[in-house]
Amino acid sequence: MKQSGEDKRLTDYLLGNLPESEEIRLEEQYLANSDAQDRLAAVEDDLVEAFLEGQLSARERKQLEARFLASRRGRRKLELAKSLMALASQQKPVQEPKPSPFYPLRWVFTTAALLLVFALGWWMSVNMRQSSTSERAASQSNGTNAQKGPAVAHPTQTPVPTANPPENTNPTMIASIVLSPVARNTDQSARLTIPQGARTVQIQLDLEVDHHKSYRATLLGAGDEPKLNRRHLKAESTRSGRAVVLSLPASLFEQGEYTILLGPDQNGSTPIAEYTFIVQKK
Amino acid sequence: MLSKDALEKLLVHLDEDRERAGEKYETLRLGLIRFFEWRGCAFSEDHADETIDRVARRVVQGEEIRNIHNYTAGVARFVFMEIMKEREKQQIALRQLPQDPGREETPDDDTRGKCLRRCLQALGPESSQLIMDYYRDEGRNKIDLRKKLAEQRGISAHTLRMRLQRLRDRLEECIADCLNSRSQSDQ
Repeated sequence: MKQSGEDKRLTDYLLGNLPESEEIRLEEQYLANSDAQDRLAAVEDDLVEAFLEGQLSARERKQLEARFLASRRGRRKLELAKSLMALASQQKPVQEPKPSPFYPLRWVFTTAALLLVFALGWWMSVNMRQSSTSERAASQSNGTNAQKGPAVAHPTQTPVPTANPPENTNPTMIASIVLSPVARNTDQSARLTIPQGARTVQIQLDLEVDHHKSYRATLLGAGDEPKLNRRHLKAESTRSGRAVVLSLPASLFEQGEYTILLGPDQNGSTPIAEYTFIVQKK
Repeated sequence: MLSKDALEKLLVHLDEDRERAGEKYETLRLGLIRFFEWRGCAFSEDHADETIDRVARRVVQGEEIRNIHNYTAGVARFVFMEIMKEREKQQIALRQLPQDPGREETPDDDTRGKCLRRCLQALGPESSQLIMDYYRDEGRNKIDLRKKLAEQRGISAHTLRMRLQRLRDRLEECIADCLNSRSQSDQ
């Protein structure tokens, strides 16, 4: 079983191969930190899989049988992995979609549609420019440029009284994103672009069902380390249905991948939904 | 059995903020359950509670505990040593008795299979497909396939692994509930 340094250490712990002093250090960590427990649980799964695939040495097999697999949860985990492997081997892999024979024809239609859109856009912009020139002559006004669209990050600015506001200095600048639970999102992870100067990140977590009075959200970094915990969150109605909306400081985010776990607001409850997104900073 | 007063004092020791103390208590208890499971104990929850009980009693007695997690790990080790001694005694006694396999009652494969299918369905089509894909191959093919699954989703291999771990946890919980309700309806 080939592993990285940290995983090797955790595997050695689970098999009982670590020196006592290191064992105690690790125990101290996972008794205080649920993230450390999760990492050990992931290694536990790898070990069970390796056991079933015959990748463990005779000694390691014996150690695992005498330790984790002797516990009730260990046996349950072994049964589950065995059943999943059997079921998965019976299932045919999902075929990647083959290009249809009308594929080249589809391109022709798409290109024609795009040309039509461009032409229409150009005609409208010429018209609008002409009418706005005459309106500006009569009066000058400011407006918001806030827009909202699903799964698209965008800066939102409140009206600024000056004629030419300096770029990216507005303290209320917001970057926002609408996320669907992972189960509904099989494509690429959503991307959140945080423009320079943004103070707040607003994240809308769409719910498939709203069964709980309040929710708890945990933001995890790329290494699955918890970055933030929010409790007592209430679901609200949005255009796409029920959702939990989080407002977080933009300074919390670096470039990279993030996951939000959403669950009922009770200690020790299992998350009911998971949302993954990638942050890009401009 | 942990008294209310002892629990209160232990919570204060974990954190002054009541809510955070509750969370830390849950993490500590779950960590202890894992501690005993990883050593092959059948009654890990009972042993975890016994450990917490002993730590709380020390707190009530006013013992100065600088690092509660380090201290608890030490107490858990003592509890485990006692379990081992007890186990040895029982094994000696059992060897002197006529053989009785005393098999643990396990649900049949058919029931387990039905529960597994039902719970996979409950996870939703994409999640259950992800689990199936994750377990499809073996050896080198498996590694390549998992790498591809992560790439398709634009996430790292580590995130995929942790996501699968959480999905399996939900699946395990659902299967345990399903098996329980089926055994209750059989009675």
